[in-house]
Amino acid sequence: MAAGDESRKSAFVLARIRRVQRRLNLEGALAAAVFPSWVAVTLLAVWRFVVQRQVGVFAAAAVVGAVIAWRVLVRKTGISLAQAAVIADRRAEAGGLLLTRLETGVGEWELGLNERVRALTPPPIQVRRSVGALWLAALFVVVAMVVPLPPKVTNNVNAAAATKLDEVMEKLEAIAKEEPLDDAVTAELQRLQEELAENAFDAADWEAADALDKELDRKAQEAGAELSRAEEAAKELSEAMASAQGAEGATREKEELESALMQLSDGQAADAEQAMNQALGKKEDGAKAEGEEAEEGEQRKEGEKGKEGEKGKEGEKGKEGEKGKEGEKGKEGEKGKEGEKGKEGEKGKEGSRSPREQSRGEQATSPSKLNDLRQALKSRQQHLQKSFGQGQGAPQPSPQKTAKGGKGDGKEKGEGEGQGGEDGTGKGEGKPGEREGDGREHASRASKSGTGRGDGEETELIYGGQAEIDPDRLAFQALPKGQGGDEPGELWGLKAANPKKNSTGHAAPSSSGGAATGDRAPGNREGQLLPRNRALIQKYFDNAPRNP
Amino acid sequence: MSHAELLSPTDVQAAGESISMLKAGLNQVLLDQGGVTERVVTAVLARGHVLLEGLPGLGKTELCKGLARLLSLPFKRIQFTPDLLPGDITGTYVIEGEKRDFSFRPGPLFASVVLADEINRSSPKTQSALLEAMAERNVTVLGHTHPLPDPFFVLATQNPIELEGTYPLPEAQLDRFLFRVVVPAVSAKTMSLMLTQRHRGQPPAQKPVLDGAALKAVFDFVDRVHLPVPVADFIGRLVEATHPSHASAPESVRRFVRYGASPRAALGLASSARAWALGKGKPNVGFDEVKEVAGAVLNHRLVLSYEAGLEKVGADKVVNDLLAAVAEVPRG
Repeated sequence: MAAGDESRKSAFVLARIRRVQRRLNLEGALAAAVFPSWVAVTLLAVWRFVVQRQVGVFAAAAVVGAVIAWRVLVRKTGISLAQAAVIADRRAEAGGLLLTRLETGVGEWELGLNERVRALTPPPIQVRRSVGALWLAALFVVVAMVVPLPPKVTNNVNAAAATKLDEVMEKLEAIAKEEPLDDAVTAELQRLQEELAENAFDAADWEAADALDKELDRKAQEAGAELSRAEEAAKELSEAMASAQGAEGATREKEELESALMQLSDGQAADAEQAMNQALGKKEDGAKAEGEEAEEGEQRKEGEKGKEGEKGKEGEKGKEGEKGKEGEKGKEGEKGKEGEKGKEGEKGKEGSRSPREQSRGEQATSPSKLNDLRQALKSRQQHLQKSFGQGQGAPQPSPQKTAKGGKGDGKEKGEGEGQGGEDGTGKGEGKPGEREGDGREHASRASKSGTGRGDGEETELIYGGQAEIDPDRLAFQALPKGQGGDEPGELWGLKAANPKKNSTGHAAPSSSGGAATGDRAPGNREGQLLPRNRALIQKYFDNAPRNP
Repeated sequence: MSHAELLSPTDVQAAGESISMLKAGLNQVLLDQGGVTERVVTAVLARGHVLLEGLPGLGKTELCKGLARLLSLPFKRIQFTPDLLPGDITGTYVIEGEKRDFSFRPGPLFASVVLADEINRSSPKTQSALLEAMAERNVTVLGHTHPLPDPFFVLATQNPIELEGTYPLPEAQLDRFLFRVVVPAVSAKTMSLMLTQRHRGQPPAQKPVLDGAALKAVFDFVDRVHLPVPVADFIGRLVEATHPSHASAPESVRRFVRYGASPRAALGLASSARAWALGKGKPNVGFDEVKEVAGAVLNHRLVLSYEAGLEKVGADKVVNDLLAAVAEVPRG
């Protein structure tokens, strides 16, 4: 009975104390919820506006984190029962009797204590501030969820990637104008653009973009190199055309005069004056034709060069271009007759035949005029032979022009062209029409006319290792006297520079060295300097003492 | 020590009547010094020693003599002088004539109420003779321990201004006093009463209000005053906070206190709070009683720093800051 009564009294006091405890804890819990709530809603709003993905998941995580933080704070700042009892004792002005009641019976002091406990008013708590802050937090999160999202801002990484892809795209378009590109490059660029659009541009994509950029740079460099090579080739071609024009004009003039001379000798020309005029007219026509041919040839060559320039990578085409310069095309006489070139050649034939036909229809002139004409033609021919036959005064011919040596009809011409090649020994005889036709086609084609004119037999050109060198040409020949041929074992001019030890009986001091005394024999300043005998030079250096 | 039953209101009332008579008798001795007499009575009820500090002529000695008369207890007065020896106060062995044997002749300490007047004028050697008597209520002379009478109180006085030729009490000696009570100067009205009502300043003749048995009963009532655990915690945290090195010490303690109070201070706080609560008619100790006696218990136990002396900060201010800083209920 007494125990039950005691427990009842204790329950009454404890209930009052717990009430105070709950009230105080409510205040503490509300205050503790403010900071985690604001942190959570702020992070949620930032996540929604910045990241804009998986807002629900992040909201749940934020709520869980806020609840955990709130629980921790409540536990730290919570009011225990003993603390609530002290506060209740203070509130009831019990002077420690309420605390004593929780520890021991107070006996006769119970009535007074109960009166005080009944009159106990719960401590005032200030929750308005906390509740207001929580309401604001709720309002903030609602507004943050309702406000429409701004356009997604590309981060710096994607902006840099977009810039990179734009640069690559510009390069791709620039190179595509010059040469067709591989489809793989375009597909790769498209794939990178899709990755960028999906915001999934990662390190591998960066590497792919860099590799693509480098590939395009390499192609751009190659295209630039091809353009520069084509430009140089065109420049060389124009120079070659210019030089060929001068030499070809002189050759044609010579051929026209020779043709006129032959007509005269054959009696084909009815009138010497007419033949002369014909020859001179032909010369003018030939000049005109040459001008036209030159233009056409340049255009054709430029066309071919252009094509070959496009096929710059194809080495065969380049070789063909070189062959064209070297006169290898001269061998292709049939090609020259065919096609447009052949037509132009026919035009040339027609141009040359028309005065013949005219001359055939005219009557022969008097023998005196004919003799005068012959004399004039002969002097003209000699003059031309001096100009073209010996080849020293004439412009230095190119390899193509060297083939024109075949046009010569004498030994003198052969010697004159001797340094240029073996074509001077050709003795074939061609038709004038063919020669003229060929000659008008192109400077390089004119080399074919070597087979059609001259006294010798027609020989073919031999190239490279297939050529057989005449052993007699390199046989030992003593130099002429006065030009080093005095002593068989000594090369003229070298003895003075490197005198033999016992030749004079005076040994020069090796330490000081012997100064060159210069030429002891007069040099061949008047005559032509012959090529040095290699065997003699070899022999000289083999016998010479070797200095350490 | 815990009692199953709390003091009944009747017990508290009986104790309160005795205490009130004692206070009233002391107030007749020392006019207009109610605070001083309350603290002295409280210290007596708590069985503690009191150090009265004040200017000469304020009635300190008369207060001690009046208390002895009111309690009808043996009273001895010791005038501390520089040439006083320990044996002069504790007693010594002497040869009695006929027996020709050494016998112990007790000194003035062997009394229930001992007035140690001008205690700071004797040498530390003589002051130290009081240590054992005040702490253990025993006196050991030549290897023989002699118990002092029960109850035993030491009421000491010291003059705070005449410092020349004095020996300040050591901290160990100070710690043995329960209270240091500063006797303030009296007002003109009080002095007028003294001049008109007393013959040559002598207090009126008083009858004893308590005998030994009654005093012992009051002591039992004091011991039965309940000290709740939260209040005991508060006392512990209060004493703990007096140490400047402790985390809970307030700023004033950190600045002005070199050494804090000892556990004996906590014991003195509890016992004096009990006596104070009983004097207020309460069967238990509350936070207020602790706070009211804290100043008298702690002010002489705090060793202040030089900075406190320079800034003229006393122990009372530090104790007040301490009470304001330490919460009754620890949070967190």
